[in-house]
Amino acid sequence: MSTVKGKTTLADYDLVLDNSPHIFEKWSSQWIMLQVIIAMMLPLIAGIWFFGIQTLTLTSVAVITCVLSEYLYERLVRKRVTITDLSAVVTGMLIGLSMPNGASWFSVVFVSLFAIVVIKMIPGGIGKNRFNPAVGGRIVYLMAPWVVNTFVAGEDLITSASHAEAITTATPDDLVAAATPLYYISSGADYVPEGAQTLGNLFLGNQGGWGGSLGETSSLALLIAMAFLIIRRIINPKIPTLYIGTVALIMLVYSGFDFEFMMYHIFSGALLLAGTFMVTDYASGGLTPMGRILFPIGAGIITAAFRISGFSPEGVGFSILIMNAVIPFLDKIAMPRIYGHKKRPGVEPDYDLTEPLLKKDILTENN
Amino acid sequence: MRFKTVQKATFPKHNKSRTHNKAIEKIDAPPIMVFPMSMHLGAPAKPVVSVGERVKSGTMLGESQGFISADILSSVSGEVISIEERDILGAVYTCVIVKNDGQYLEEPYFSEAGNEVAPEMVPQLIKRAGITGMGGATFPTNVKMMPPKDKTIDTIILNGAECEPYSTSDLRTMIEYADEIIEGVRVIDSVFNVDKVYIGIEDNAKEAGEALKKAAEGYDKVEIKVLEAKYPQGSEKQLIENCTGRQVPAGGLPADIGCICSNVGTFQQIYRAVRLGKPMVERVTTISGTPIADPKNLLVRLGTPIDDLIDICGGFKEAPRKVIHGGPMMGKTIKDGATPISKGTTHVTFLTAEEVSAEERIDCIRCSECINVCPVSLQPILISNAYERGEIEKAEQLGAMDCIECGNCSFICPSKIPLLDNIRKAKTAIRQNVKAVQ
Repeated sequence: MSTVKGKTTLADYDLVLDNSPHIFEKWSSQWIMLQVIIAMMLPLIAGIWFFGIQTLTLTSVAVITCVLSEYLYERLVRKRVTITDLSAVVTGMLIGLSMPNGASWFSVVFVSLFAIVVIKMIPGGIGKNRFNPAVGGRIVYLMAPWVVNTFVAGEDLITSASHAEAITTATPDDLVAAATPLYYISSGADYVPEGAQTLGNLFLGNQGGWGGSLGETSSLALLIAMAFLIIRRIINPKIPTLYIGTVALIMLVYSGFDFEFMMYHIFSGALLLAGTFMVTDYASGGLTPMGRILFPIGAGIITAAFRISGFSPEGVGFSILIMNAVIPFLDKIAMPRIYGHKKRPGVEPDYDLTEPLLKKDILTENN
Repeated sequence: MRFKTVQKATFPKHNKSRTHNKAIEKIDAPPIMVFPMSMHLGAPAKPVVSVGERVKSGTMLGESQGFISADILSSVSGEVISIEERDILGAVYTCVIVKNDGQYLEEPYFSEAGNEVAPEMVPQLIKRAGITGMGGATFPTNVKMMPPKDKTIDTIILNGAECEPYSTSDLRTMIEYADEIIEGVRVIDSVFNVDKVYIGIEDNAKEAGEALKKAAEGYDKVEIKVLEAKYPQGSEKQLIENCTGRQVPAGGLPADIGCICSNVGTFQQIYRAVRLGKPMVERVTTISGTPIADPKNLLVRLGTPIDDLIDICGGFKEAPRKVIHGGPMMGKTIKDGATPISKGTTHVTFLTAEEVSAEERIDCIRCSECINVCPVSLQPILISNAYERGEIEKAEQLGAMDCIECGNCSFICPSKIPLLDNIRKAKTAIRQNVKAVQ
């Protein structure tokens, strides 16, 4: 064909044959994780402002432990090393921000190890973990003294649970003199008691762990982080809105339309942190559009139930773990109806507990 | 989860601005023309000419075989110099090669054509003109015009939603041939006497909407639907749903819900065939992409090799790495410059090495974007996982066969998982399973 002089022909060029589509959205999983890391900077800075340099050191310890343990685990079991996807950094930062004022560095190391190895890597790594690693780590931290107290010191379950919860939100020294706002208003109370922190302090943040753990103290910082992620289209605004909205609605009704009481619940504890970074987690959240709606509503109801019942003032972590366990079944029921069909597809979603352990993963097997 | 995409669509860059305002340019046919026996969906045609035979524009080169098939007509006058097997877009077809004598002698026009044509003659004239859908899928138009007796057609839908990036051929056709398109609608309306005519266009083609509105003045059935520019807005099933609110049942045809839907260009060809008696020998196609120095909308005779269009568009200013017959979302790549412009060649897209660089695949992070963007509400990642584990039955249960292969899932995946590739392979495996059972 190129016999005609000067004629441009395709034969003169090195062309590739390939399947469609030939163009791709300019984003990547790393980019998504990076946006989450950027969003967490503000709560981190707020934590440093109110709690000092310990926030930075504890968060750094958590990040380093998470990344290192993921790397070592993957080398040990001869899997492809995936630390460049930055998801371990996100988990580490979230663990750091969930730690209470005065937490020891070795407890942070333990929590991080548990989150990455037991919750994330053993089920198969990113996207295969049924439970949110950072939330799981947080619960382990909560449960540790509970378990010790119950089985070693012989305390009754409810008391030790409350004590365990209290330490995540306040320093041990504060416990008697000034319980956390959440401790005040939970345990069955349906009003804000005298002498509690002002809403303004809870919103902006406060020294001494009044508003929550290291990263939870400033509601303002968390709201800005949430707005950032929504604008960057990393999280669907529906999820935090439904989660926080459900808790707010239940609290409003429960307190007999006491607006201040409702705001106390929104601005204290882990509600905003979880609404921004935990309920919105891709891997452990809902997969189908309906699942993504049911997850935050369910978590909101459970959180409110925990807070009202007084079993544990901070129900956030438990509510997420419970929903993590339930969501595969909700996703199965809520599979979208395919265009032109009358029924939803009737099939098990790929989600049985043994799957990640027993079934081959093409990507990692090839490497 | 980008919340814009809860609309079951993606938003690839349009890249239409370079050819948006360029008028259609009619070009001469090159000396050698290539006519594959399949320019349509369905059974390939059978050659009815022999080497050495003289042909004219409109002479039948290949006769349709079976119900879903179409005739192949010559678009130039000259001599058949070869009949050979060639690889056209990934499949081998018999091709009739015609040496163009440059005189463009024409076969006599269809004598039955005119302003008063009996309704039952319309599909026959459409068949004789070799008309297929011009939006890319190339379904034989005469078959569409002959729905089963028990179906009542009450709606005609014109597909002017040109959602593939780079393509402006439909846009220019609508602007420059608005009258002919509306006349084509009247032809079909005379057969079915429908209640409603929708013309679906995207909101980036406002001029086209105005031109058609003007052409359809006083024709009250016609409603121009300006739809959001998103991909795949121009997919037949999605367009029908967006215009009428009806869904084509699984495994069914638009006729099942009373609709006839075809590309705007097809209606222009219907007008020419039925009213003027002219066969379909040419079409508008856009030649575009970064490597092309002077991208254009060309009126090209069918069978023109792509190699003969490059210099007309100023040659390459950058080396192409991928040449796509069609658009970057659904088109097929080609290496052979002798691949001809066919009935469904809306455009030819050229991409540079930089534009096609593939990123490394990583693990799924379960962002559920593929589920959000799927226009038919599949769960692409679950089908892909099922295929990769060899669970073909599960892939079928998840609806793999309902996939319209629009490419949205692979396009959006932040982990760069080849979702559509896997679904395609799953579909092939399912078809083979079905065969094995029979």
